[in-house]
Amino acid sequence: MPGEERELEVLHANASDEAKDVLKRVMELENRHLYENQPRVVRDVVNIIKEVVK
Amino acid sequence: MKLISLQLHNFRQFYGTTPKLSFASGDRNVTVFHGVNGAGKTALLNAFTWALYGDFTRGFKLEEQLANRRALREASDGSYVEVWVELQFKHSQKNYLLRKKARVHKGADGSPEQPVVEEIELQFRDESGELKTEENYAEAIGRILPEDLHTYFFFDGERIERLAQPSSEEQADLSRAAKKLMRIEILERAERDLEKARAELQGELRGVGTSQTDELLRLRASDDSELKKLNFRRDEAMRNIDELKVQKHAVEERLRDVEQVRELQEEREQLVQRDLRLNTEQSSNRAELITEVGKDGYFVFLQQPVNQFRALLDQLRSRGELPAGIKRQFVDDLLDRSTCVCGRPLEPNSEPWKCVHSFRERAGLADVEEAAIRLSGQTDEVAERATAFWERVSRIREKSRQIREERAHIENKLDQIGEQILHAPGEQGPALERRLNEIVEGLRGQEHELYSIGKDIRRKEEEIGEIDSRLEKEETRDARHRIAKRRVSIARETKTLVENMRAVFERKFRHDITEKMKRLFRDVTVVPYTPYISEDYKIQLLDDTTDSLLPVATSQGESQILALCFIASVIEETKEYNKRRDALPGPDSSALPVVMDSPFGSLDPAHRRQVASFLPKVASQVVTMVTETQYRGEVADALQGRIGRAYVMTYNTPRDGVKEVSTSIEGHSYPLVKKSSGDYEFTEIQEVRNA
Repeated sequence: MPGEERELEVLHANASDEAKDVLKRVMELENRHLYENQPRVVRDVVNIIKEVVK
Repeated sequence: MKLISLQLHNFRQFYGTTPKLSFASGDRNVTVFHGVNGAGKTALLNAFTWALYGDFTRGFKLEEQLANRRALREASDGSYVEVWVELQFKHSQKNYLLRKKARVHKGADGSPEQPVVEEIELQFRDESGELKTEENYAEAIGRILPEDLHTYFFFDGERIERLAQPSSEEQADLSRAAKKLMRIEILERAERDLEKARAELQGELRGVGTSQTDELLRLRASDDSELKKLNFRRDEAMRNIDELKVQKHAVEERLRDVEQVRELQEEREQLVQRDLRLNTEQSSNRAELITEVGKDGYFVFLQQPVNQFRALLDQLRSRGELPAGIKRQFVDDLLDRSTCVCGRPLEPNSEPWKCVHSFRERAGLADVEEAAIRLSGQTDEVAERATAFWERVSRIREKSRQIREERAHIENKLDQIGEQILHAPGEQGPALERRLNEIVEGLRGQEHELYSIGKDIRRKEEEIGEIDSRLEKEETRDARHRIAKRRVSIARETKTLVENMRAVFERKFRHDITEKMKRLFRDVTVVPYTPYISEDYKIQLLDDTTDSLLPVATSQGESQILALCFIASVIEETKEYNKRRDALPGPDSSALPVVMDSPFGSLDPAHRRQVASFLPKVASQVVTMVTETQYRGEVADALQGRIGRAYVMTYNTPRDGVKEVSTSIEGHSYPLVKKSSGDYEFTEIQEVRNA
């Protein structure tokens, strides 16, 4: 559906570079831990944001 | 997930070990199991769900009946029957072997107890061919085909309409399952974790505290302004002083021109010059005193230990311990030789011996004496330097006293001269003197003002210095505050981004599935209805003939078709989605098999044909268990050319008088029902030749 693809494009275009960077890294992290339920994932998300926003 | 084979042992109707049941794939991807009711078709389906998920389908009978009855009958009371299922499958280039084994104990009364699972093992061969065991088999299977999705891929066809008419709980399951398949769940996880991370970062932001920079800058500006005013006042005072000095000088010059007071004025000027010189001398005298105290002042404090040392030395001398006068080695030599220096023999313990021996004690003080001599020299020097220091200080202080006296004298003299001029004959001299006094008074006032302003300026500069130092610290805090605030903002922005992405993906998924369902439903049925998936994942049929698209009541057959269309659409969409570039990370769903028991039960012949025709095209593998009535005719025709493997399940019954039934497949006859050789029922499976 081009409409939805366009919507995703717009979402990405309007996001800040930092948010896009965080999104990419968080998705990689979530994929690694997709089948686990570990509270440390949140800790890692915090660290990702801290690394991106220094 | 590609199914390779299944093997059962004492599982429900299947006595002993079945042959390895291989599954078809590729172009001919359908595997058919033929059997009569009760032959174990549903048991076969449940062998999959039990091995993979420890679960049974809704229609499956009690779990205690897991073990084969014949095997239980043959086991002695109190012993047990071993039940196992082995499933081979391939996923992501790896060959897996899942083995699940349980024991069913036979009670004292001969009835079976609850099965006890003994072993669950999931082994795989990796790319190098090495055999490995998954440590957490449930997690590994979850990665391959998540548990909450299994009811869509391993299902009982007679109850499948429930998938199309789900309860609210089942709708939630369906929604969750769809999200997992489409990998939308990962976005939900990211959304949740980003929100938690944002809350944590918000806490850190609070910890950094609020900035005081603005308040400090306000204070700084206020102090700057006050300092500016003080500097202005200082400059003004200095200008006034300069002006008054000029005026003073002019008045003094004019006083020199007045005959009656000239001499007094000249004398006064000389005295002022002298006072200035004395003032300079006094300053240098003070500086000299400071230098002296700094250089040699500490000798004053050494006087007491020097005195103590001298007193100690005097005591030693008065006791005759100093000087020691004799070396211990010399005394020892005399005692060794047993002869005194005077030639008298030194017999041990004789009087001469005792006398010489007593010298040894005194001889021990020789080292003390040496140290005393050395220290005496140094203490003498300390005493001399202290004395010299006091002499110099006294001289400086005396000079200071003389200067002070002379200046006091000059001051008196100047006062007298002032008085004399004021009362001198003529008008000009006294008038000028009064003017001079006014100027001098003004000068003193201005100098006092200047001094006071100078103090205020120094205090203000100190305050500004302190504010600057606090500002520097605040800047560091502000930088931390800015970063902490930005982090919270980025966490919030990323979460919103994920939230919006999820909404787009979900909408897209529902739209795509609905479109696929519409197409399939149109192909299969003749009714003028359109399938629709609501936001809460309820599958409905809408009447296409009216503008308002009213929901229509669905028959059992239509519900089954809807459910099958939904499953087929999900599989198709998942496969397409898996290939797409923008796919989210998640389970590999490029190959999805469908294992279904009696899927054509409630369908009329036309619908059976259509369903049988489209399912093998959509799913990567189809495994179906059918009765002869379900299979013969339309289904068999539709599956023509798609069947890769077929099996016949022969049901052995202990009942007398039952008519044996057989079926003919590919020109060969296979028994479906047989008389059991014993008084127990069981099922045997054999593969159809040339299926």
